[in-house]
Amino acid sequence: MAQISRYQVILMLVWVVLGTGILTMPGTIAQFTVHDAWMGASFLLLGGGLSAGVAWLHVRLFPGLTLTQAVRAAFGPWIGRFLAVWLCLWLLITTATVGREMSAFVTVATLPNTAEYLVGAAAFACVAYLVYLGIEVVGRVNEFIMPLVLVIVPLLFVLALRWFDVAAFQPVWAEGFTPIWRSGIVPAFAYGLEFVVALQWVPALRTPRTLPLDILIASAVSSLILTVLVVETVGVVGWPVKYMNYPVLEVVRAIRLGKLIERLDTVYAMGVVAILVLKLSAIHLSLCRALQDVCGTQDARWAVLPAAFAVWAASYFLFRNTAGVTAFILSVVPGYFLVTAIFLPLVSYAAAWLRRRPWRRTAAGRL
Amino acid sequence: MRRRQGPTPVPQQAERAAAELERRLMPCPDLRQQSLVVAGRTAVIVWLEGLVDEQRLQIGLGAFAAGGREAAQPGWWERLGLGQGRATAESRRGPAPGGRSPLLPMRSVRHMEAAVEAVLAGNAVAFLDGEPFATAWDVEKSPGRTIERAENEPTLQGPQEAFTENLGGNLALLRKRLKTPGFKAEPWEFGERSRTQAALLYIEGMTKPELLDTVRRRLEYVHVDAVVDLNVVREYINDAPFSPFPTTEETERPERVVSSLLQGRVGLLIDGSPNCVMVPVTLPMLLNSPEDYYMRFALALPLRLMRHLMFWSAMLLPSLYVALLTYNQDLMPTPLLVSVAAQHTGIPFPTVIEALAMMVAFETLREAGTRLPRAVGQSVSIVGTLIIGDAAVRAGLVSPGMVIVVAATGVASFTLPALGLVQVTRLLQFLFVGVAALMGLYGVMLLAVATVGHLVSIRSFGIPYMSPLAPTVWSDMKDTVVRAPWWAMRQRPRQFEPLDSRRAKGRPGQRQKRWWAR
Amino acid sequence: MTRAWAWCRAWLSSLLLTVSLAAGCADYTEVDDLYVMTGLGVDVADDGRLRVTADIINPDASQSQQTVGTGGGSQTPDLVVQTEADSLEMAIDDVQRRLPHRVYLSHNAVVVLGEGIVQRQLQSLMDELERNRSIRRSELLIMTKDRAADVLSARVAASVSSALRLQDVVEQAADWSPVLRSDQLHVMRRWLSPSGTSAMIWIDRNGQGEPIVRGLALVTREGRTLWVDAKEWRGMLWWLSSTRGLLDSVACPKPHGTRIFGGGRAREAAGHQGEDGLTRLDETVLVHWLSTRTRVRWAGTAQRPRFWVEWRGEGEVERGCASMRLDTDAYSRLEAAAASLVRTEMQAALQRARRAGVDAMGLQNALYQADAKAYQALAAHPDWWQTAPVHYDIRARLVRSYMVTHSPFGEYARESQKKSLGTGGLSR
Repeated sequence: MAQISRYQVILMLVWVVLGTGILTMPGTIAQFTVHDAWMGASFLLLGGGLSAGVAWLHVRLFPGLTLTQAVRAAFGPWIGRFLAVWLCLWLLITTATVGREMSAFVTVATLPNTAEYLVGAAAFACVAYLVYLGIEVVGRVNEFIMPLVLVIVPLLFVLALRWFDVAAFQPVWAEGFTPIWRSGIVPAFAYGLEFVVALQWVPALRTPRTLPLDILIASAVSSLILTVLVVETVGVVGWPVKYMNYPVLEVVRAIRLGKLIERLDTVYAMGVVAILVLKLSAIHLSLCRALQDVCGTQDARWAVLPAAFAVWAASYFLFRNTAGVTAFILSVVPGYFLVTAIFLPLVSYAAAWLRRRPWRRTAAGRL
Repeated sequence: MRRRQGPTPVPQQAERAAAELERRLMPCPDLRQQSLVVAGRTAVIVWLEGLVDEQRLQIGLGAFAAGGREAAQPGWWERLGLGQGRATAESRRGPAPGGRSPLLPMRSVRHMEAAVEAVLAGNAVAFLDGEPFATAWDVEKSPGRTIERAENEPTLQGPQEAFTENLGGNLALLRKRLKTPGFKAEPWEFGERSRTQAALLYIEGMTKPELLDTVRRRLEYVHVDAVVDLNVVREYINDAPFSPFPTTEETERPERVVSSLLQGRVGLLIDGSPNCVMVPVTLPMLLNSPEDYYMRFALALPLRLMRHLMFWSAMLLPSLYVALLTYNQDLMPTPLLVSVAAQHTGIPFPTVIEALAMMVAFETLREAGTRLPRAVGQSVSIVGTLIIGDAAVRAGLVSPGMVIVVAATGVASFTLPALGLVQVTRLLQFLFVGVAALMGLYGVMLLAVATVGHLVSIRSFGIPYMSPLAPTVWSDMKDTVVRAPWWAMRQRPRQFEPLDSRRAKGRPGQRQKRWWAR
Repeated sequence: MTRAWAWCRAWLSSLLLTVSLAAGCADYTEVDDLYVMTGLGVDVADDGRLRVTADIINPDASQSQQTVGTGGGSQTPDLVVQTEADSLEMAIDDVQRRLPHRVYLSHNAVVVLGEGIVQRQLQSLMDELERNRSIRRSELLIMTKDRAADVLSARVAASVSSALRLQDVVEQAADWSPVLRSDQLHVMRRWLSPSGTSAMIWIDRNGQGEPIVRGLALVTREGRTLWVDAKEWRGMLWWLSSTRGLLDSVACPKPHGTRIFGGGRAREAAGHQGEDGLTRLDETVLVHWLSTRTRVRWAGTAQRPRFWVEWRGEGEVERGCASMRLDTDAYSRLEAAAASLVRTEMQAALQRARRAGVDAMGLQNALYQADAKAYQALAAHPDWWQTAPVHYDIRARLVRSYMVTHSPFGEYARESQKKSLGTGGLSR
């Protein structure tokens, strides 16, 4: 059985959040407040904390089982299977949303005349290949990309600092706490709850018991990076951040040093593509694992290609346009994720607790 | 490994036995026979001319002739090669205890097949009337090169010796560098017809036993008629057989083998091949040059960084150029774009065709340069690159930028120390150019991610190919991109899980710290 | 599943993927099939539509430059194409219809805006510029009182397109003050700030038809424009940002103790001129401000709005006056005179801006950043900033006088020469 280390898990989780986080999060937060936007990103910790709580319960009640297996173990074959399918759909919709965000971004940033579904197809082909190779490979690609990110991101960050203006953050707390709280909802309940996908990786973790702590570390790292990102974006772009689709891209588009260093946005876009592929792979892994659990097969490899096709199709079928994606993230995702990623597992754990331990002895046998 | 059906016993008449041997080898003009009388009995000695050392042959003959009274007794003949009944590879391991001369081990051969084998292996085989055995002694001196400079892995500093095609000589080159009883050379034989001798090298008490078992198990799967080069065995045993990336490391430098054995790795030497295969190997190792260890450690960092960069450049440069010229023109500074556009105006081919044509041309020239004799090969490369390239630019068939990029790619690939990696980059650059023409940088990026995925998915004898980068093994980073000074590399690489992880424990009372450390 | 089928499937999927991707190379454009646009001029035509001028690099000219000895000097480095349309995109489409290659916007470096356009079409124009993916925020926005088309068509350099030359001109000007590098990012940021006013560089053509930096254009997001000529832009630049290398002519202070603050201003202003009305250069000191910085702070309440302006400058004497030897005393008198002049210039700039209703100084920004509640309270009286008193705290420091301490032909020099040589020596 392939196993992944804590470091890999943390990296995978960080990219799961940052994949789309670095794309749209500053803009999403700035919809509600500009001066105090820097506080919004830290709400990710709240979501991370909730996810870590669920993970804590999970690894104690169902050590070595995935979330879908746990749900089946808690509710029995019928209701359990139904809820597992619900989880599959949740993962499918999440992947489809990310996939659509990605293809929209690529067509805006570098390939304006190429059909979005082709851009998506290429990305999903890559994702399917990585997932086919297994969770270990996805974890290692995360590790491999890390040093490159550590070189490129600070470079772009420093280059853009020239346009930084502290005035964009004044006045502090001018509009009270409400806009900050509203700006924090998406980071907390859309991005923060994405960490729950890690429960699908539990059997492949080298140390499953540390998963809650890993989620906390990942959420702390991600919220720190996002806060820095939001600060930089708001500081450089200022008020216009409110109406921008991809504010970080705009920060990079603003960089100009002499005649040589300018128009670096394609470089940034390619970096985002790499990270998004990793994010998609991570969630796709969870989806394939869920399908394996639902169908009770030995292996998840059979599911990789069909699931990739399904997600690819769903990403264009579910969302009519980019506004649809944004509306879905802003108004549906927080509630949907809260129900699926927090309440559903909690209810399962409660049910398992009520059924008082017989599953512990027989769960493995039943599955 | 070999099937022997119905071995023929050695006839008791020496003449008959010699005739039988000759019959089996006929036509064989280089077979020589010498009859002599030992204690009143006829003895016939048979050998292959050119394969043997005349002097040792004479010593052997002298030993028989001096047999005296003892030789008249039955069984004396066999006692010469006591206990060594079969001519197998194992018998080569040490001097035969019953040999008359400690310098000239002798062994008994019971069957004609074994006698034939022994003759072919450079032994002299002696038949004695009335004895159902033959005695063979190794007088092999096969023709071959003397030790020369390492031509394929040249370094400015450090040792310059290279392996030759002679297994015994190669082992001696290793032994003189590794004077420990732990150094083992396990004998193997491959090839049903070639009977090529090989040695599996490792250091006992250091190499992980599971690794050794894996290598042995895979070696048992080698079923070929002849092993003409190392590559035959290599292709049988390496991981990811369909991957273009090399999962074994080859070297012609004995000191590299020694240092790799000291890392807890395993080597394989094969008779007739001037290279040693070392396993397991990782990609970062393939990007290390022996020179890195012979120069000041601080200089190794920029050089290694450059090699890592060049590895990716050799794969990606043409595709990035194609992507920049056909999809992502915004990435270029305006003056450069204007200049490149001006260069390209009037070229009759689309950029991607231009790139592919240039790459094919370059590869052809490179191949021609390799195949031709060295003196001619160099002039072909020069003529090709300078004259044809220049003529093509002047004729307006290709743009100067493309010539620069393709040539730069070639030069980048020349910086790679491992030939296997060079071949991979030559292959993959075409694939990357293809996707660059389809989707620009986006396609290149996706294929690069997939390539990284492939790279991290490969293992070499259980070791992840990209370690210690992915999976990250922090302690092994000391000798990956950075090379730590020797005094700081006190541990062997953890990734190979050596049994004895400390490089040196020091003599009792020896100071453990650096001389400047208080 | 057989192995053959697995292979078959793998091949089929890669084939399908390749074929579909091949169908997707809609963005494939050969580099020599591009017309690289480097500048865009936007005016209002007589019928109210946009008159758009595109400055495109002439590929033939750059090609002939590449080829040695073909004498491509007769080719102009750029093509200037003009068209009229309802919007920028439509105009670019129209330009495209006239050209054999694809117009490539990504390298656009400058957008020259005519006066009319900011008054009448600013909102829709900026919407298009902000939305267009090919246009970066680093491009420069340049205002002109001439027609933008004329500025872009001005042909001065034989080797570089007009737009790229304009870019270089702006880059040079930006050495004085970063506010002159009026890129889209900063212009939009300031338009969207509470003051709603952006400063842009103002470039017109001179008598010879060359584009030169005329000064600053301060444009509100409603389209009101205040043009500030380079001769008097110091006061405004000091309000707007830090500066470097500005020159100022300070009246030569009298050697013995007249206090110059306040009452001396009128005399200083007239000090440049002699009794005959002509400018007397030897009665002024030329100060080269190495660097200056300004901070505008809110120092009042919603009931009593008040601002505090802090100006700090460091300069050197570029040219002295005849009557002056630069000792410490003279330095401090000169510093006082310079500070007074700076204050006068800043006051004048503030007066102009207030009269024009252009909050170029960002007084509203200063209030908003300091006290958002007071800002909201004052929102009922949008003109409050035009009357709010401003207190100046100006400190100038002169640090050196280059290679000499006093003027070679100045009075002090003559006196000391007389002393050392004797009268006869000079009059002989």
